[in-house]
Amino acid sequence: MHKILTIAVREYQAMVATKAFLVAIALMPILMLGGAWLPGLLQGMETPTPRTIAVIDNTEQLFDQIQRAAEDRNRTLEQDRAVSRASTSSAFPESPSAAGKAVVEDEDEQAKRALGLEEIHPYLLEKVPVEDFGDEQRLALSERIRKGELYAFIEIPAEVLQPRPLTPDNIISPSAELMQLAGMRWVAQDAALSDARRWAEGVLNQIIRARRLSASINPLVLPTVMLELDRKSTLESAGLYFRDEAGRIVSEEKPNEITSLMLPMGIMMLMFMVIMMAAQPMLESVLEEKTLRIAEVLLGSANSRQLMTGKLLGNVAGSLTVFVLYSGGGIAAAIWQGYSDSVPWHVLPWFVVFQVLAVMLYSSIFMAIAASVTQLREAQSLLLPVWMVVMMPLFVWFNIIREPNSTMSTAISFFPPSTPMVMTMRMATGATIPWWQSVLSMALMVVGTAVGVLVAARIYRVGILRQGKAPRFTEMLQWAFQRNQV
Amino acid sequence: MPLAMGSRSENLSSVVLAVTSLPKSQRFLLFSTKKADLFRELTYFSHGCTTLVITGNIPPMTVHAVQLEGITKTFGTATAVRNLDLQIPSGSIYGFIGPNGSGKTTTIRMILRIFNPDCGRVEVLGQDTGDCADERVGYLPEERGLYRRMKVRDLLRYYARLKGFRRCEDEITWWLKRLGAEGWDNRRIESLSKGMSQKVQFIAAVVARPQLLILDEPFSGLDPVNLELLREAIQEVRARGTTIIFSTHEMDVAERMCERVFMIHQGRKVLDGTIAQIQQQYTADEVRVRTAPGAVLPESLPEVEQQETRGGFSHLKLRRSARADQLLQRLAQSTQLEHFELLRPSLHDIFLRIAGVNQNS
Repeated sequence: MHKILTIAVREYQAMVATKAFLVAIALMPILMLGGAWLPGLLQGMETPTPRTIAVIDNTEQLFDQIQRAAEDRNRTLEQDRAVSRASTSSAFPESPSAAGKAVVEDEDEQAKRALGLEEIHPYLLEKVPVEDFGDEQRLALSERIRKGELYAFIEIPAEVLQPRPLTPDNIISPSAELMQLAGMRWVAQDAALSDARRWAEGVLNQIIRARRLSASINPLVLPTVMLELDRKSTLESAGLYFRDEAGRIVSEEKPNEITSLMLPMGIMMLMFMVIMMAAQPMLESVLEEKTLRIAEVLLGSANSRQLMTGKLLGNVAGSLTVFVLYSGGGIAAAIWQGYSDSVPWHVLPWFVVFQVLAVMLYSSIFMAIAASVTQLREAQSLLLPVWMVVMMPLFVWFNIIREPNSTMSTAISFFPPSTPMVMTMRMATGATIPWWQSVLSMALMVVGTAVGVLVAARIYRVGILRQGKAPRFTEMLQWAFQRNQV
Repeated sequence: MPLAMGSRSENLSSVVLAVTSLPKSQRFLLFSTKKADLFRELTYFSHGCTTLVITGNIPPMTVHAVQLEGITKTFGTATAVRNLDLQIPSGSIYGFIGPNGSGKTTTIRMILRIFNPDCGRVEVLGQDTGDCADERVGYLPEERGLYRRMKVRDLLRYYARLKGFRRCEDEITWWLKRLGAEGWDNRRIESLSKGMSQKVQFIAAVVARPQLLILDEPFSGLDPVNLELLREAIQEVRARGTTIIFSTHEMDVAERMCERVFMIHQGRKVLDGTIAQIQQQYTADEVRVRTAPGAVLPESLPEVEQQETRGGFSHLKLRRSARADQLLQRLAQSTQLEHFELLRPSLHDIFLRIAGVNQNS
């Protein structure tokens, strides 16, 4: 036992007491947060330059209103900038412009604004005469766009205001053709998803809707109707009701939408990072021991079982250090920012146990692979399938967060290599996970880890003293199951 | 230094040493629960003393530090070691020689219990079971074997602790000083030259005061000064009573260092004995002669295969069936001799003869 501990202590020190580890510990959150905030920061550095948009308004009724909407927007932008200049220290800039917006924002826009990704350029509109407007004029406008004088031009067909009579019959189930108005055209060099195009589409539809309604509605009630069309009620997600100790019937706490998105994703990323930060050093450590023949000296003092157990222990301890540092930092930040209610205390114990199992599973696989090869390059080709399995939850996380109890989510969380990431993520969504699923997934994970570690240990034992070309995957499995090992 | 074993009791886990050459006040009383520790203390304290009286449950000193009986080891279809018998007497320096791929390393790994033989028995320091080397065995591998990133003292401490030797600080200091490596404690291995890391490697092998020390090419990368230093150090370790297995390609080193030599070739033992015994087995095939001034050697001699002049002497290589005494007779008749010497084959020649013959066949 003292040998295992001696090996574990060295392994832990080799993993934790290195500059690379400290840098990684410090950099990882910066990189991840940076990934989220950097685009906003970069955009903050951009200076607003007016963008001129030419409008060919074949209805000859809409231009003034579009012009007014653009001016409103430009004014609000200017006010926002004044405010944000005054309070640049805030990490979550609260835009005061929300009330002044004519168009109701969707959630996507809210998120963008929170991240500081909002479009900051004012729009200037230019009216293009509609008489004799044809392909020659289109070409001329396009040339101006190419030269940079113009940002885009919009063609509004006269038909958008053409009445489409509704009868009592087609009101109930209107055909698609009836619902669709004549299409407008946006010609620009920017992307199809550009903010300017989306803004123009929103504003134009708002104006056209009002115009079309005014044809059939009393102008006195029109503003009311328009307002009512924009009004929305929210459907807030609440937890199931239960009777508490005091006998009151209360609803379970349910995280709000932002935390129910960010928190599970954060938990999954934390698990991913911990696995990565534990398994990668293990690969390097075993490879060093093999290529520098340290393994030979070690095997002269301890058997391969003790060696691998000691290394795994040290590695798990290292990974727990990563967890304590990150989760401690995260919780401290949450409490400091006043989000202490959002800390998923109930997930933490599960997280620790799943993490220990995941690190053991993946580190031992990485060890077995490192023991089988003589160069990092050879290891990489063998690691590719392993990486795919580790990263699988990263491809489906959004579906799992939206439907934590769907068949797919449940099935993936019962697949041991994915269990740690998926199960803790499901738990963090705030959805009620049936208790038997937690227990069963844990049991499967324990069995999966045991099998994985045993197979890896047998491959490690054969591989560590073997020199020469890298084996194929099938050969490695043969080593694991051959009877007389060394 | 004669060792006197006192009454041995299986139940006692302590040992009392009485050093009769010292005044009463300097006698030692040692307590330990572990055999390995006891041996370390014993060899440590006994060095330089004249008489020791020992009581306690000391395991008996085995006559042979290593005994291999009929061991065979195959890897897939290749047989690395075939039906090998070997006895290594306690306290000796035993040379392992043999070309690359002859089965030397496999044999060493079986002694270290890194490999299990397919059949046969491996007994090391009286133990014939175990799945890793005894804590009383030290090992210096052929190449490297050190963590590049670790500091010298941390690394030595780690290797000592792996051998169960926890109070190792004084020993590390002593060895660093002994090999002229004071002040290296905080240097990283990667900053050391090849010769320097070879010294650290050696200390790592001996720091836990082993009873059996296995050295695989310990002199590679050393300049003559350091080579001499290490050679003396090995003799010192041996003077403490440690048995040493010494694997090398360099025959002159083996000839100089080892009392007994074992040669393995294609998995089989081809030589085993003292240097003198081995040299006797292999008859001289070369004579060195000098004629008196003015006299010349005959042009062709039926006994001689090849003839060349080196350093004022003529070296005559005998034909396989030829006898040296017949050559002497013939030379005495035909010329005037001043010097006639039968050259004993060096280990190098014997090595080449065996390895070469086998390769040709």
